[in-house]
Amino acid sequence: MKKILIFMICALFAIGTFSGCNFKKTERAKVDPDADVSQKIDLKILLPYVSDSMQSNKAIPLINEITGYNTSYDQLPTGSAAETNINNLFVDKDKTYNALKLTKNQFNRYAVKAAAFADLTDVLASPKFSVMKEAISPEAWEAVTFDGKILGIPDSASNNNIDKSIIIRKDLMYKLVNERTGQPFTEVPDTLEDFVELLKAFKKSTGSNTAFSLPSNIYVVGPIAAALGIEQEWSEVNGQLTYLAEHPELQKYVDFMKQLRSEGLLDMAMQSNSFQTCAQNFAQGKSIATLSNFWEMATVDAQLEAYSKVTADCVDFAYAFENEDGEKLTWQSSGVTYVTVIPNWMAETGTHVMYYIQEKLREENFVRIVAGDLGTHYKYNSLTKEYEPLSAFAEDKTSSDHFLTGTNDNIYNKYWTQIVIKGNDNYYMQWKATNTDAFADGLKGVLNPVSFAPALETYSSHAAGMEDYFNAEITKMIYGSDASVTVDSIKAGWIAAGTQESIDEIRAWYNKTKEVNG
Amino acid sequence: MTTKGKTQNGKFKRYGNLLLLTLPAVILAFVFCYIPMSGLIMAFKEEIDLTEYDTAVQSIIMTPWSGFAQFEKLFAADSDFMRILGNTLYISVLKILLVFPIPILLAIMITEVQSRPASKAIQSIIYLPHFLSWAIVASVFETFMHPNVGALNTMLHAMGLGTVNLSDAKQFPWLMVLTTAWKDIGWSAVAYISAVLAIDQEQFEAARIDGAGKVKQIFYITLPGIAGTVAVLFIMRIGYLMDAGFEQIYAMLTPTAESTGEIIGTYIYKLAIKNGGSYALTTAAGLFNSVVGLILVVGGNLFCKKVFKRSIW
Repeated sequence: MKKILIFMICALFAIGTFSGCNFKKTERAKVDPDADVSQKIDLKILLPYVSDSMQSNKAIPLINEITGYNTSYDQLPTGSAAETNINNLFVDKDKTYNALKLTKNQFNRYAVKAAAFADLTDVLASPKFSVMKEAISPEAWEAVTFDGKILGIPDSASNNNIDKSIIIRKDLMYKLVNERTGQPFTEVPDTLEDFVELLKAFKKSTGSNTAFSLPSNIYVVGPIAAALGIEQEWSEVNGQLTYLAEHPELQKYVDFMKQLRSEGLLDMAMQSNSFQTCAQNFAQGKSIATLSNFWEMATVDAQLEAYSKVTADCVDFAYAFENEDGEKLTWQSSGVTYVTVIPNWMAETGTHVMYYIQEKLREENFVRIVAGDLGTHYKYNSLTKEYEPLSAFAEDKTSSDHFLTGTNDNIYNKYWTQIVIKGNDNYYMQWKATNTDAFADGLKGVLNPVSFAPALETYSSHAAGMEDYFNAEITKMIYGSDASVTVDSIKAGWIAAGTQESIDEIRAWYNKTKEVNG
Repeated sequence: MTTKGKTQNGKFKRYGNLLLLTLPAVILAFVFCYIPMSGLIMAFKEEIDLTEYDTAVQSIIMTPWSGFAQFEKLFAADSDFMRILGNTLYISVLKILLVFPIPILLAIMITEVQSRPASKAIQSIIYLPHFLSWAIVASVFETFMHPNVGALNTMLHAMGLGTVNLSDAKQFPWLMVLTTAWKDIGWSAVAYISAVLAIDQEQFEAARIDGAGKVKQIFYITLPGIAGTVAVLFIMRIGYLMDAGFEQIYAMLTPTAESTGEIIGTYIYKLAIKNGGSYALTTAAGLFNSVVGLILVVGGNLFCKKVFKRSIW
């Protein structure tokens, strides 16, 4: 066996030495706009996780009807297993899928690789694909351009939503007295001081050590960080683009969370908590506050019904707290969320994929996929001059937006805000409170300045590692007992995880973009 | 040809066709164990983009050599590798010291159960956890040990005792040992049960006639009788010393337990998959891991040869 092993190693060295010069780097393939597509082929698309019942989703037959293509779909697993699958797919150059729908971070990571995705620049310049080109906003196209080449079809966020809000049990809150003012709580707290007072009063009244319960994927609480001067994950500080890890106010945020911890107000089981657990604590009256995305309100409602026989009406929203200047700011989401790509080695069937996507992006088709049919899934209200969902919407359109491969940015926002979000009462309740009512109340949403950033040569390779590093360290600092983790060590470690070069690269992109946009 | 050579030749002629039976195993080992070893050259290359050429093999071959640069990076002063190596050894040694002897005791106890149905039932029950994946076991234990709502901690709180917490860095290695024991001792006992049952029953009868009680029978017949099996399994276990249980720890590790819980396996996974494919660095870590593992197996074999007079080769 030893001889075989030695032989194999020698053989490999020999191949490398003598035949290596025959290997040619894979060139980025171009999708041909004029390829013959008269014979339609079956298309297989890989999507991020949709649901266990994805294969029976009513969007699939509709898309087949609209596009004329017979399509089938697979979905990635959730969590980091998805990364393994994608990695294997690129290493194997797996020919199973004609197109892949990736998250923006996954897209960025592979876009900088030599030849992972086919080049769509020429095909998009062709008048045959003008509908697609015009349906998507220029800034979204910019976000999927690397080295001057368009490498994917972007899905933009439906709206610049405020996704997350601290939710508070107001039925429990009304029974508590604010010791600072001596008055009962009648409204959700406007300031962090009052928020702490509310948690203290709750703890005093119930003895609970989980007054404020957070799930394991919330590393930094946006409404609290914004009140302490951290306006977004990336924000401009003294004229320089700055990530959370380097933000001068990070210490203030850590101190605040540690104060909650030391006073026994923070659920220390954060790392073991799913959102389900937090919602359960919230519903059982073990927590008075937790953080919820608007699409998680259905879970909250179900848990409240199950444990306390109350409905989501007993929930109120602390979407932001006043900062030093008395302003209410919070983190707002925006930018490109997903990108549909054609693997480089599948460029031959790329023209079919492009026609399939273009048909889905045509205004009338896009509306059918996202919102359904007028009269069946939604109606027009002449008084409000808005569209409204009908009962069939909830039955037929659940998760249909997961099947989008590119968004028609000219109309998505209108139909989404008028129909889709209203299709689920629970989602709409939080969404309306934090995205409509709150703005009327003076709330300012802050966008992440890098949400439309394209793939960058060095930064994109390190971004996931840097983010993972920060998330782990800030968790250790707030919930752990390792005294060696400090704000300074986080900053240094974060730079080391990504290299100064990659940080400079994203700053250079930001400065250039700012200069171009004036 | 010498007499010995002639004898071997004769044996080969007579029984050589039986060697064909080993062929599937040899092919499998060659394809899945030996061919992949050629990928170890990645440890001596610069960072590799596996998509750069038409195939991953071409990409590996064409990437420039970097000598021992990846190893230098691995053992650099600011690298976490030494701490992670320490964690790996600590958890692994704990598992060997605390978990390895239990199946031996269990096997002896099971074989002493007089009722055959009861013995079979016990064996079946203790095997079962082995067939659950670590993802399921992790989920069960996370729920069971949840600091606030877990059944275990609810009980401990009621008794006025402390909290068992998977996120606590001090407790994490011990909890890994505990969960490994829960999952695998039943399965590990199978080999020992067979070994105990294979001991000639006449020895026990003779000992009984000579007045030996149960304890003496165990010390003077059972344990020496299964010493060979124990030695072989111990040597094999030593070979896994550098694998402190990737699946288990990956499924249970939280950031606050990383300082004591991060092991080489999870570190490699993080670098190779999650953080954008540092294949060269992770292959270097994997190679180091394997070399140490090989040294330990050879050392373990020598140790068993000297102490127990039993060895694999």
